[in-house]
Amino acid sequence: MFNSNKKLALIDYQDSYYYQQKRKKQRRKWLKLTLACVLVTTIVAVLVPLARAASINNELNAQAQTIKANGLIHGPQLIFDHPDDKHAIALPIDISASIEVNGLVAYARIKQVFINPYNMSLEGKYQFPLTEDAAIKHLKIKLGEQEIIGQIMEKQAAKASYKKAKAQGKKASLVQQQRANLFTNSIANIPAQSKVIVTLEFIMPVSFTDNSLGLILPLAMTARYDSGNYQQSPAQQETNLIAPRSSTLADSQASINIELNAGTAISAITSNSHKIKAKALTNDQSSYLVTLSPAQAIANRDFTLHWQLQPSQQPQVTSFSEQVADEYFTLLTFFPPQIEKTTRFARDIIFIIDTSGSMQGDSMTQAKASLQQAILQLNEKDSFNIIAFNNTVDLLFPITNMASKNNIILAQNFINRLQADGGTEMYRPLSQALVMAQDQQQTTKAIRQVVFITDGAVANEFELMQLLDGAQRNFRLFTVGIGAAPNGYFMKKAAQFGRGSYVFIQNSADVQTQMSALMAKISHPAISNISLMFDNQIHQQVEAYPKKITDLYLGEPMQVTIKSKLPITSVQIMGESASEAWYQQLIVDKNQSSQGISTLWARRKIADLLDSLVTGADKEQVKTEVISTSIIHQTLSPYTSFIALEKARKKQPLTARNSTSNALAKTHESLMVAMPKTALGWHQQLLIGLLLMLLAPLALSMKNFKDD
Amino acid sequence: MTNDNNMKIHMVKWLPTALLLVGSLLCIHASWLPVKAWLSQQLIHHSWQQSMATKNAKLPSLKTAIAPKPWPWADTFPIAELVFKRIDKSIVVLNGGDPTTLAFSAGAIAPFNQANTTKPFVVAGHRDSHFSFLQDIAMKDVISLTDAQGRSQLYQVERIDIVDASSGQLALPADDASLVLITCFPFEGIGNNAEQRYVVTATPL
Repeated sequence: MFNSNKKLALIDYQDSYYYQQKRKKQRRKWLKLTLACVLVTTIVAVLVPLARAASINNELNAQAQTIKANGLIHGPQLIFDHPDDKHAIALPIDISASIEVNGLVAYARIKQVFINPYNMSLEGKYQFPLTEDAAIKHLKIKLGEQEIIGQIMEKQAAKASYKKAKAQGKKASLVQQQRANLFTNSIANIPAQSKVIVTLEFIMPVSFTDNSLGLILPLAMTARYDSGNYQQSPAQQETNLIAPRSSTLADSQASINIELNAGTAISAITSNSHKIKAKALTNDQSSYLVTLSPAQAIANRDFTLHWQLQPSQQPQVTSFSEQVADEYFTLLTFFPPQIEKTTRFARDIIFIIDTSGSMQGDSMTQAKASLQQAILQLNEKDSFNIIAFNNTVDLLFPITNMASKNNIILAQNFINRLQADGGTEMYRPLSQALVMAQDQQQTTKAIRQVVFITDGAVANEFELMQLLDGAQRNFRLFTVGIGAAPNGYFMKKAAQFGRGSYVFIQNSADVQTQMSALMAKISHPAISNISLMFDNQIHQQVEAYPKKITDLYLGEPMQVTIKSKLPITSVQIMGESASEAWYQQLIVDKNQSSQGISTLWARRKIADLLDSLVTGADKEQVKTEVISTSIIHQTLSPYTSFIALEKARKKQPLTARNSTSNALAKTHESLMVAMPKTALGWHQQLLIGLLLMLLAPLALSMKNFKDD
Repeated sequence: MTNDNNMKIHMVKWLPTALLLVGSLLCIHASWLPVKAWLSQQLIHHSWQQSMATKNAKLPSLKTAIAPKPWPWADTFPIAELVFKRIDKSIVVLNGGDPTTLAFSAGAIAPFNQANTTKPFVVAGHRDSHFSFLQDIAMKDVISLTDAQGRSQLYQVERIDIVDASSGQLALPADDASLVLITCFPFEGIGNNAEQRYVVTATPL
């Protein structure tokens, strides 16, 4: 009865309108379901490999992107002297660097490209960073179609001729050194809506420790904290730093190409700052082409590159030389032999940590982590203290205390509480560290070591250097650079005056290894008081820089640039290790000739002359010497500027243009071969197909919406 | 008015289905291209190996030692094999540089399709299928070329250039027995129109 009822109802139902509708809906449901399934499987099939690639990329990126945005760190910015203040915005400058590394010397060519977006010709000015040991030797400016080439001139004379050219409406450019690692370029009469390409060529040495070579290319600057009333270096007078604008139109982009010729096989190439792509150029792995990946990056942190040589092939002495006229310039690198590790000696360590505003964010996290790491490496023989400073000073203990368990816990809590804020007043913490009394339980023989962790964003570098140079007590200063763009020059110089060394930690992943390496290094004795002796009969006049060679620790090489009348064949090195006198004679048998050693030498000489100002050398004498060295070797110094002036236009013969482009065609009788299209473009089709399929559900929902 | 509305509703009704259909067709066509490239390469390899075996067995072969066609209706034939030892790749080169040939394998472009002569030997291939490995080639790499007669010659990579291809022509020295490999650049590029070509030049050892 029940059954028949249902059947009846069904028969009735099947013809009804509602049943038809229901069937239709069900059919559609199935269609939708199958289509959705197809869609999902296709998307999964495509996305899974993509996601996998992305996750690998992310892993690689994770390292590079540990540095978060900080308003005080910025890339180069261009500012025009537009009469209307509303238009005075900072414009980005794109940088492309091509660097050729040969052994221990790097030749760099940096192109800075920007445009004048206004409808009138204007003067533009920008500030850019370079490593402090870079020697600039060539300047070329391309304004529209016109090229002008720079030359070295005394600073005031250069400024005068720049002003004159500017007033006459001529195109001109003036590159000045503001700080050892900071330069400004002013360009007059940039034509309306035109593109400007500034090409700078410079040479810089490559750093070397424990078979690992390194290169730093500064791309970003840290806004320098100016402590207001301070004593300037005489060489810095009449300089003007450009304050960064917070509102930039866009970020400056950088692209980098490095040709690496190590001479011997390279085992690994890494960059802690950026993601890179290294491609072998020869099959013996001795030369590589290194590029950024992706090819462009925002210039918000310095670029670092490290490469590892295969240890067996490490030479004892390498020598590169260049002959200019009748003088020989030599770059000598000497790798000291391994010295036996003796028992650790007692140390009296003071850590100074910068907690100023420029350290905010990741820098502070890194600084704290590195300090925690360092504290753990102390042993019972050591005594220590921590000084935290911004514009005020905060001490852990009034005097240094023994590194007992209890004291270490106190220190750890102290570090955890630190926060970044305020200005950077380095003078007080440094002077306190130099005169601080030591724990009575500590032996008097304990060596005072100061470890200074900072981004070095200070403007009164000179004053601090004087403080370090004038200190009475026997101490060693080690500086640890933290953050995206520390003031490397200050930290290197401070370490030089403090007879210590400088470490740069850019990546938070490296804090532990780098800090342990430093702590291990400074717990073992070094070779100190090093001096060089040359064969007197051959070398009547030898000028070697740096004049005073810093202490050598394990695995560190010594680098000297030398000018001599005759090529160098042998050198004697004398020094003192912890327990005894130390002597070694070097024979230079392989003299590779290399370009630009003279420029490097000149740069070192200028640096040495300027350092002598701190110890009270005669200002005028130093100035004349620096200017003459700078002009002879055509390299930039604080007393000279690069000036490029527009000359009367020469008419170029029309035939000259074709000669370079078709070099291949000229040398041989040549045939033309048709180049077919060699791309299938199936990626594109696949993407378009997927996009269409993704649009379908969207259209479906639109339809449903309409139906409702 | 109602007619117009009806039309609209009709269009909206069929739009998702049409989109799905076109999209999936495109996807299938797109994935067919690399599949075809791979499949044809297998067939070509097979026919090449057969022809080499015939040579080795010293059977009385045809006067013009042309390798058998990879499939009966093919209008091209394999003429040489390139082996890249360092990156462990090999490819059989077809005769001709037309799009049909290039879809199946890399092709030698006439008149530079004579191996082991005093003229250059020019091979072009797709950057997203057969010649995608060109980006892994380094300077000084050794390439071995075996022609249809079984003669082999070693080449060493001397130059890698990226040239502008807007003219569609490349100048080559006519009297230089070099091996020139051409593909589109950049390798990661999307689409089938590239303005640049990656040109690898190798000289005989």
